[in-house]
Parts: sequence; structure tokens; C-alpha cells
Amino acid sequence: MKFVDDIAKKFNDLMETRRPYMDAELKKIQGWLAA
Amino acid sequence: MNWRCGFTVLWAFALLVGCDQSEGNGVQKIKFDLGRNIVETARASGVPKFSADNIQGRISYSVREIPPSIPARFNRPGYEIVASPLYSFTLYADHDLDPGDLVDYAAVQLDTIESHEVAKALVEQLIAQFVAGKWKRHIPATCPAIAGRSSLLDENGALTVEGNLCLDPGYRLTPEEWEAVMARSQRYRWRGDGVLVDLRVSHTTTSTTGLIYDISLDFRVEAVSNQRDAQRTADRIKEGEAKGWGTAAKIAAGEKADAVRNALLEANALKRGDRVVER
Repeated sequence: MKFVDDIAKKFNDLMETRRPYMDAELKKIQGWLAA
Repeated sequence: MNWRCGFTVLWAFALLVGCDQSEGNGVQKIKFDLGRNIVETARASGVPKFSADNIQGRISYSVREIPPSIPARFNRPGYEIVASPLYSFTLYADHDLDPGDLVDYAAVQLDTIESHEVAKALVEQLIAQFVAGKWKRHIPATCPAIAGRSSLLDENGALTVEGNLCLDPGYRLTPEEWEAVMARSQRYRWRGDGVLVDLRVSHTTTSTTGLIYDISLDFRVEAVSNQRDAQRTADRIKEGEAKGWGTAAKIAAGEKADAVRNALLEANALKRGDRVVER
């Protein structure tokens, strides 16, 4: 399960450095879930 | 994966092959520093194969499942830190920030530790390396500048277990304090020569996994980290003001409240015989 920590760290880094891109991607995912 | 000889970096735009010439004995450690081109840093690290990624110009080179005999070594003279056993090692660069793709962040994830005693010993050994080097304890404005056991205590003098306590690395936790405090995510913080380091520690216990410690070291270029923090705050204020949330005033009020709380904690620490230190 250690790889999950790595994924979380990368996610956090992208949220800090690429926030507009991540917000857009998360909205897309939200759309898929709502479909 | 051939760690002895042969080093390959696969990336969308480049393929480099070389051989580690360290006395013909192969890779013995992962060497790294910040502030150089990420490809050069990856090549010099000794890692035979990285997994590379590029998301909107945020470049990362990562490697997982590192043999337990191979440590990572932050190689800057006077600031050397050696960490093992490793699970993963990742370098980051930001092409938007610098077209030279300079490494601004290195994430060192240690392997799972399943014992309070082993984790405590490992963290204390890492702290000793920071103390032995030229590193200085990093105390942000949100933290009281306290040395000693008082760094664990709240305004009432109680050991209230919260995350992100402003721990004094010079204070050696008792085994009981350690288990209580590290149940929440904590970090020790240092700075030196334009680098910020967070040593993060936490543990969880589940019925399926038992006790697991997560210990990691995050090395960041201080100027880049501060620039990103300032930008995040500016963006937060801009959004908040546009939506009428009064964000600027709330942030100012929060900073004032922190200053008042810190002054109280520092005064209490002095009454107990602990020290207030320079930031």
C-alpha cells in the first residue's frame, strides 16, 4: 500500500503546482461519476 | 533491474545509457541535490531506471521498490543526510518556472516500519544527522519558537495530541509521548543553504495491516517553496474577495491570533524553564 502514499504525494504536489489543471481534471471526473 | 552496471533513463523525448564507474562495484547509494537540471540529477543519482512523467510541464522522475541495502544521500557538502531503508525516491522540476528544468523538490519515502521502537530510533538517527550538519531548525511564523518539552504542550500546559505540532527536534520524546504524538501526522523542519526539509512521521493501526509507520523526507528549494506559498495565498485572497468572503481580513486575523497564541506559549515555556529560541 506504500504506492498509495506516493500517489497521494504526487497528487498534493500537482494541486500545489498545477491547481487550475487539477481542478479541471477533477471536474471531469466528477462529471463521469454523476453520469 | 540491474543495479550493478547500466543506467537507463526513459523519457518521452530522450533515452540515455551509461555505466556507473564507482570503482566497478556498482550503485551503492542514490545521490541527489536540488537546483540542477533534472536529467543530469537523475543521471548522476546512480538509479538505473526511473519512471518519468510530465504533467503540464511538472516533470517527475521516480523509482520504487528500492533494495533495502541502498540509501538515499542528500549530497550537499555540510548538509549531507543519509536515509534508509527506502521505498521510493522522486525528483520534481517545473518547466514553467525554469526552462532549465531544475530540480525544486526531492521526495524520499522510507519503507514501512512496523515497530514504535524501530521508528523512533530511525527518526532520532535522522535528527542527529541534521544536528551534526549545518542545518538550522525552521520555525515558521505560525509556530512558537520554543525549545524543550513545552513544544508539545498547549496553552493549558497539556499534551494535546494534534497534528502538525511545532516539535523541537532537540527534545527527545519519551516512548509514551512518541506513541501518542506520532499517531497524528507530525513533522520536524529544517532549513539551510536555500533548502527546506520536512521530516514527516505518522503511524496508523488497522486490523488488516497492524501498526504501520509512514516516514518521509521532503527536500525543497526554499525560494520556490516561498514563491508558491505566496502565490497560493494571493490566489486564495483574490477568489475570496471576489466572492465576498472577506478572505484578506480573515487571513490577517488568523496571523494576529497566531502571534498572540505564540506569545502565550513562549511565556509559559519560560516559566517552566524551557527556552525561547531565535527563528
